[in-house]
Amino acid sequence: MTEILEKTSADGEAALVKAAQSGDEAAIRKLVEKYTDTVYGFSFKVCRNPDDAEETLQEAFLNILKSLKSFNFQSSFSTWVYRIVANSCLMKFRKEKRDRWKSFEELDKPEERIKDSYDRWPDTPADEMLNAELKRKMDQAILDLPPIYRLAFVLKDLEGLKIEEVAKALEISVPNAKARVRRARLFLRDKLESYMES
Amino acid sequence: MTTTPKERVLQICAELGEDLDSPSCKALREFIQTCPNCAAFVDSVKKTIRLYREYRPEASGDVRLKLLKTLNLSK
Repeated sequence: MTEILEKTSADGEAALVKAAQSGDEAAIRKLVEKYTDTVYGFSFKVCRNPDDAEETLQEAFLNILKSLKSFNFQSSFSTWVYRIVANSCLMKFRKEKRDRWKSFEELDKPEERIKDSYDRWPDTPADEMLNAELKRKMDQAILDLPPIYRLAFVLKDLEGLKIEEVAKALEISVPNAKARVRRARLFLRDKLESYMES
Repeated sequence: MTTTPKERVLQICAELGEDLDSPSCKALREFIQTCPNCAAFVDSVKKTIRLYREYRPEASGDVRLKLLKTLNLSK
């Protein structure tokens, strides 16, 4: 088991997943630990709120473990994980019926949300470039994006998935995934336009 | 709905190379160097993405422990 756990290659991960599918608790734990930051980071980037990200993290992993045996290695394990997390995010938005579900036609209204999330961003050297106002603008802009566009943007441009993987994770066609990413990029760029020359 | 030239540039990049740094998109960017407004627009999209990439949150120790407990995987 130790030998399997030490492997980091794709083959190693496949062996780890198979061990987890067979019920090996050490393998399951290792898999959870390996993907915790990925799932939490993705959830945070979509939700822009640490409490929501933590809740999504737990729901997503419950779903991942519940469905683990159904993973058939037709896609990479990470793409499969992203699909489940994306679905968890969408379920959460639907369940809570948040006012984040806006159409693009409604998006030009004045800022009306984001009160304290921007000051939760940690102070890292890279972050020093970003002042509080910009952070607030960025959070507001991404929250204004309807979730289906937000998920596509985060998966493609922030998580670095290939467009084919984005399509698989969101269970949509590649042209549709491209269209969502493109629309999200344009929307966010326009929202941050005043910062583009600095 | 009409598409502006700036939007069209991004659309072409997305449909040809998917990434703004892909070879196809680089070639297109070289072409649009003759169009300062177009180049500035593409740069602004890249900067938008870079700004969002700056922040990479990680789960805290407490969050990890709570997760393992929720999943009945605590040691």
